[in-house]
Amino acid sequence: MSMFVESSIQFDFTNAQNVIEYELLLKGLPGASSTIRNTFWKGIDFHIEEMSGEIIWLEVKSWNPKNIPAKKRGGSRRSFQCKMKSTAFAAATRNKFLGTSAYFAWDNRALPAKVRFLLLFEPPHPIDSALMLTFSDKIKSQLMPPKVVSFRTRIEIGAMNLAEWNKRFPDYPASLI
Amino acid sequence: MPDNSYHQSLRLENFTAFKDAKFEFVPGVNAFVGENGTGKTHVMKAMYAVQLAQAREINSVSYNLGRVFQTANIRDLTRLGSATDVWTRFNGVYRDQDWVFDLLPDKESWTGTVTQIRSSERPIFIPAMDMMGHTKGFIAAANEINLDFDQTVIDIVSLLSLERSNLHDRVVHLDGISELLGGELEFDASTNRFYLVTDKGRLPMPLVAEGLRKIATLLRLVKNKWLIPGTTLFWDEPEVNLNPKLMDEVVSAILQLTRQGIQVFIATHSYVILKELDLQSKNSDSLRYFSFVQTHDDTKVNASEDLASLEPNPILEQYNYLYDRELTRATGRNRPVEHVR
Repeated sequence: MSMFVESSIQFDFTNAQNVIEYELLLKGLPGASSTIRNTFWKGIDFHIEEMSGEIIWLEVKSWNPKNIPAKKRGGSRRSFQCKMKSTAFAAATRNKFLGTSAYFAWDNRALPAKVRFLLLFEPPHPIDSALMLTFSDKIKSQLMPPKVVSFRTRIEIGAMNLAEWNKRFPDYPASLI
Repeated sequence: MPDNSYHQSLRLENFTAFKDAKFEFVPGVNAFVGENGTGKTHVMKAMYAVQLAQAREINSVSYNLGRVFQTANIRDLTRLGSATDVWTRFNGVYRDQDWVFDLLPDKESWTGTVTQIRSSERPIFIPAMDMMGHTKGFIAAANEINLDFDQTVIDIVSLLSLERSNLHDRVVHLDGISELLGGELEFDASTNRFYLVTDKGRLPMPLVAEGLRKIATLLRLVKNKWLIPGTTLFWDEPEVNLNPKLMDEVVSAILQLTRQGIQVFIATHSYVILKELDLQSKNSDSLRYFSFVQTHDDTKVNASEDLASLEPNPILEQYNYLYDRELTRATGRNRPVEHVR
């Protein structure tokens, strides 16, 4: 069993070839304080190497009331929703992608020729496919040319919720904890 | 204005696409959703024709139907494939009063002139096509050469041109939408043409963007007091020619009308219109969605007061289909087949 937890979601990546938890990777760097990690080396949550050779970069965001004191839930939920719908969030997601790419290049790791950059997004209330589609498009707009013209890796981008993740990736089951 | 000033129910038997369709309406917004050819506009036109008769605007339902559906033989409205001895029947409840229109093979009958309705409360039908840019000479041409436009189009041009100065106590107010025009509407009665007057000059209406003309149409109907409390607005595809950025204000206007006593029926293909209705409506608003579904020889109608529960919702189904394809590309994996569209 190869279990990972991020943002109150537990993943079973047993069936993957290899999984790198980006945060742990940075923790091994000498002098990499949390400030540096959160600013300069901002990155995605998981680098997943599949048995097929495909690479997935996964960013996870969820709002789970179980982990929030009752009196703070209203504000926390509003704050989460505001953060998610802003253009700033799409830009921050782009920065995580670019930060990971920059770190890989700096660390002499091979940058994959193709990456599936996926956002697993579990909001407080379900949102329909039309809004998820526009959400994907918003993130995509931040990463596609001409905004990132020199980036050579082919990127496929998609946003989905937990249920959709489990339908698409039954080999890597995930659940809220 | 009495609280019952609205269409409460409707039943259509053997009418165009419908074998036997029943509707229970709300006083606020009644939104029709369905693929092309499922009969959404037909329902609104039938109700419009009936309500014109109820308002004693024109007394014969069959005459109104013929003009609204552009047919000289209203038996064309009987559902195709029906037995020859079958009748077409509309019946419903409007202002707590039952009404029935029967169209039999050899005769027709109508019961239901609503006694308490005032002729000032005639229904308004805004067709999908813009007519505000086409008022000049239109009515004269329609009268002289029998233009091949349906009556809803001819009526809207007439109503846009006509002012009503009485009814001071029955005006409605719309906030927020007039600013979108960027100027004031002006009507030149001598040429029967509208202009948009801005600080830069006077623009003939045909030169104004069609989406803005839609908004101008609504504003004009309010200003010249055709849209007043107690009447009914039928609006076919309000989204036509509108940029999605304007749809929030249009939906806001629709909800404002209902809050002031106007029952509204819309037929729409727009996700944005539906979602705006869903997001902008308050608990005190009455809102019902109707899904029209075509079977091999009938159209079935399902209703829901909650957009998320509307089944089927062909607009969202198309987004699901797009989203599914988007995620298939992004993930490299298909969704399990049984869940796809």
